[in-house]
Amino acid sequence: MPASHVSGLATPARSLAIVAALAVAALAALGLALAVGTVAIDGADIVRALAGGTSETAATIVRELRLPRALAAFAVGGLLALAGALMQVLLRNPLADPYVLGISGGAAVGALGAMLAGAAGLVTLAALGGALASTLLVFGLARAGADRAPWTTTRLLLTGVVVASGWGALIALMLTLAPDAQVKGMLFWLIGDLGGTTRAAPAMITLVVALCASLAFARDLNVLSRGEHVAAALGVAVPFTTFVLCALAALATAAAVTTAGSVGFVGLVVPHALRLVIGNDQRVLLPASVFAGGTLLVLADTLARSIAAPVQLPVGVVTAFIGVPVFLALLARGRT
Amino acid sequence: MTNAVPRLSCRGLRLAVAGRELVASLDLDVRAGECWAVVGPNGAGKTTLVTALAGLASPAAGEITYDGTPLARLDPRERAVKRGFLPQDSVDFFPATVLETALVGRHPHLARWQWESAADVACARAALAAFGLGGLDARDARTLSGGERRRLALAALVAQDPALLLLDEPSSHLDLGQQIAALDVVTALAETDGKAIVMVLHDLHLALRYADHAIALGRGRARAGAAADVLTAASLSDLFGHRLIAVGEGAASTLVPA
Repeated sequence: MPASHVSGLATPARSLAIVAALAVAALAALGLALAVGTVAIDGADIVRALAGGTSETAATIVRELRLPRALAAFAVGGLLALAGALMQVLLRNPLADPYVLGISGGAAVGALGAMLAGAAGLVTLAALGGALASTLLVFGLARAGADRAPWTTTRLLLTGVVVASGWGALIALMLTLAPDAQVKGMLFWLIGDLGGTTRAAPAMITLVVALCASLAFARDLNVLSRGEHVAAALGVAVPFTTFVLCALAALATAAAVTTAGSVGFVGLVVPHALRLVIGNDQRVLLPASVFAGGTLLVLADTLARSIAAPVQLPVGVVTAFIGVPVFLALLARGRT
Repeated sequence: MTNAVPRLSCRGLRLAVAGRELVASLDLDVRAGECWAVVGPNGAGKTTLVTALAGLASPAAGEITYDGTPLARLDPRERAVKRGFLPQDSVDFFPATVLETALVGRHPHLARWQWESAADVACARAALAAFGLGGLDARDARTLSGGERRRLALAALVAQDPALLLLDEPSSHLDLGQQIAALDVVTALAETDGKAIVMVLHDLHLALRYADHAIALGRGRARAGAAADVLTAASLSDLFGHRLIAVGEGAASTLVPA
């Protein structure tokens, strides 16, 4: 039977229960991420380390290595799932993901350009610049033309796809020109990797801001999911709402790729899988996507750095290995 | 009644699509309790007219007012509280239950952070029941038949509870019995609740049966007035380019091609 969205109407109580359950799962995943690694650390030590005070090796590992990385993984997963959920409704297409507007391509060109120029310290900044430039380019071009027509999702999508192809060509060119020694680092960035992450705060703050802002439009999104004409007839300011939500999705995606590179799969699959299970009310789906996406990436990153230790895998490979079978199983069970 | 401010008015309304003029200039007053039919051949501009009257597309010229207030002074949500619009077709992009779909009609009545109350759910359930969809609350709307989905769209419109209802072919996809059942419910809203109704109807029998006023579109002009004056065999024959003759009596009267 297709899932429980058929059985229950989204109410504040039911929504809170779903989000709370996913938040508990996220906390458990974060705890696991702090415990697992080359040095296994037990629960009591983790609590002691987080409480501060001691300066033993275990506490340093937890506080300075594992915690920032785990929080960054959570933020990136949450941002990508949020952006994916928004884009799927805005484009009314369950196949949309955060990268359809070409943002990851712009970020990649920036990041790879910095690597190629030998400016390793500027990779994050260059990625952010690339993501923002790509966003401005897509939004500007989508509205260019004789009549300065308002943004429509179709034009944004088409512009995004074409701009992304342009970035793709530039990326291929840079990979071709790069010295062999740099290619591996570039590939890790392109697949998505949290190995170099030291700060979680920027992504975490963006996540909180983007989630709260998009929740203010959650019921508008519910109406928009039925089509722009229906939404307009029911009092949604369609061009304004579309613009704000596309911009929020772009911001979330830019923050995610700047932190971890283009981690694939989370943004496409997490919202879609959740929709099969809990229904399409955005007031539940958006926060649920954030917690589920964050949990998935925390688990994936923990696996990525421990399964073949001391070799660290790029987390993007692991998200695909976990996500593909889970998603196919859901699809086969649910027929939606 | 005639002294009251009309629910819907337009003055000098000009409609054009892709440079082709559909209506040169239309003046219209739709008052509470009135039921208007929009009739005319294919491509005459019926959908363009109701879309413009709903404020969802800009007319080439002219002014539209709801309860005396120009549309330009109403934001999208204020418009949605005053008027409801039933499009010709609806598409389901994502799964949703029947009850969720009907509840969407309550959207303009809720504040940004507000959830649907028990009263909103009761309103949606009553609308579903009125269109024979009671008990289907939890069904995935995409598993309904074409006629059931049409009635679901009508239920969402009635749950929206606007003072002015604009409907584009409400009877499409419905069998004969369902056409009568559905339009009985819709037009009763004009009689009992003082709603104003404007609906595009292809079937002249339904127009004659339900409308007290009519707008006949075609050949670049619009004729608006009492149904008895507008929906005549003589004037519509010219419009449809085929001679029509009146047959039947009372509720069963209609115009058929000769």
